Amino acid sequence: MTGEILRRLAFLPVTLFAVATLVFLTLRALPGSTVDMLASQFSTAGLRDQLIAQLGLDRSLWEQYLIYMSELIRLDLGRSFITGKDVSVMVWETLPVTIELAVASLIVMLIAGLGMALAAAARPGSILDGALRFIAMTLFALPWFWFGILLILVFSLWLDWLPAFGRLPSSVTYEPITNFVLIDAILQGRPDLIRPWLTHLILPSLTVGLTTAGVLMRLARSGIIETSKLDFVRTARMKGVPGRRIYLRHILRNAALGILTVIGLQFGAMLGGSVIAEVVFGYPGIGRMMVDAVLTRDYAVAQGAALVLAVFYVLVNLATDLAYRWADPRLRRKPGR
Amino acid sequence: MADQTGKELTMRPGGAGVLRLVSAALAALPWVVASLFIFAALLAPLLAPYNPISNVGPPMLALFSEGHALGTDGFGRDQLSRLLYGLRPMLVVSLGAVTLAMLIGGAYGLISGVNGGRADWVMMRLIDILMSFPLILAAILVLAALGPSLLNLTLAVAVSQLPIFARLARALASGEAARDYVMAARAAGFTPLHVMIREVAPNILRPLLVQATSVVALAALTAAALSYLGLGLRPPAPDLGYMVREGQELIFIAPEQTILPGLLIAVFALAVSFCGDQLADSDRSGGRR
Repeated sequence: MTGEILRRLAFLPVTLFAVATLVFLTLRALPGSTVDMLASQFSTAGLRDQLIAQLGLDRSLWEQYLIYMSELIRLDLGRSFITGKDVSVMVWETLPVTIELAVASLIVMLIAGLGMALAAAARPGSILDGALRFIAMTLFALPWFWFGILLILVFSLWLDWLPAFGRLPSSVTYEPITNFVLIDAILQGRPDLIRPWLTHLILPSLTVGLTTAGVLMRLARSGIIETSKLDFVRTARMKGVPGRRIYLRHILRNAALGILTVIGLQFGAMLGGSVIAEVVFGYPGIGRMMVDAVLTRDYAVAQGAALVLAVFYVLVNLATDLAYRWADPRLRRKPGR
Repeated sequence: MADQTGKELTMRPGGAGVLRLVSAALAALPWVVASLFIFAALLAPLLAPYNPISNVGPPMLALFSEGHALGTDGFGRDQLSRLLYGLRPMLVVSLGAVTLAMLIGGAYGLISGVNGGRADWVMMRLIDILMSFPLILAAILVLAALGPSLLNLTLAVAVSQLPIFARLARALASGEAARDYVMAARAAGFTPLHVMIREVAPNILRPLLVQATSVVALAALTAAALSYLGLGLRPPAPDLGYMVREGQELIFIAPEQTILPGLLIAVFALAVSFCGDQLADSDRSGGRR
């Protein structure tokens, strides 16, 4: 087990290196590169050349790559072409916002997805099961952005229960320390921050959480049903273990491992969903920052944001994978695969 | 994605005739709906009452206005015509991207799986790296590099789906490669290319096609999301995802302008999801009909 963990950790830098290279290549080497984009934005040739030299875009691709990599090792993500702001500072300001949204969405996804799966798998083939499967399919087929707008329409415009835009109202003064509102509220002794923060978080996290819950429900449901067909369940039944106990202690415990993998895989969909939800709800996270940067052709920012999101995703997947190995006693005993 | 119990509902032997008729009709419904979308998109020039990009009436007409059944948008363009024409990019991008991803990813996986060894390992690690980007993020990066257009949108969605097909084809192909008929073909002296294309490929095609059907919805949703973000077609071209975006700005006065285009995307995605599900179910129950 320790060997396997070490092997996975040793492969991590290789993955990160490859991810960084891929981000660099997509944004610098493909046709319609940064230089052409900049050229179309500046009318005077002098200003354009000056900027290109300043950004190091006049060097060869290979030189640019070496500079980019050596800066990355020093955790320097460069500066915004447009505002001149340090990209790592911008990441530090926006990543916690996205993590907050991702965690909230994860909670929604788990409650909705697993709740539906448990109810449906308890009686496969029943009317409830059919209805829940239809709901799960519908949730999957909802365009994320459109579902968010529907929520705004119902809960903000018609019912006027929840705010539709932003992370905190402008009337609240917030001096971030960690940029995680909950942590800062505790550190600064500001319980008044929590309520407006939560009310702004509800609609975006429902958008992401519910649209990703559909897939979780379907996979978890079939995982539970498949587990319930295994021999040890029949043995437990013959021993006279009560049905509810079999469901909770025998079936669910064994199906939980497969479900854990699904949750890890769904995290990618959730990150993608939060990029969209941040745009719909004007939520100042790293996803929205990246989309804005792509639209304004601010490549240093787009590059930094894409890299950070990909690294975040790789780390979460690694963590799920390791948790899976740790939780499964069969894998714990056998080292390697 | 496994749904083994779906069968029990629809195929209960000896069920009342009416019940079977209803379930048969329900099973046919997604195919009918998906076909309707395709016909409406193909026939858009005949069905649409107006040119979708010209100002043909006063702006912001309500639903059921005279001459404009679904009203007009903020520029006085006919909404019905725009919705009909907006189906076209959605269908072209989702079907085109899935086909492209299936062909390229399938060929990649085929080469990797049949040959095995070191090359296989390297090829699959490359796919792992591509998969370390969340789907939408990969597509956004491609569009950032290539710039927005119908073709690039298709490419971006195809890239995001490529790993799914590469992995599936690789798993299937390496399974087939170990079987007797492949060994026989090799022993008979056929070239590796012949073995791959004439022997292995036909045997892995069906699962790949089933997989393709089940990801059309995902492709349509991804494309719509990219359009919504402003990375799809350039306005004024009608595109459902971007119409939701434009309608969002009018949400206070005319919510239908954002509801209707999104509803079309959702219904299409739901219909093709059910189609894919049915195919996957019949495939699993061994139905080589």
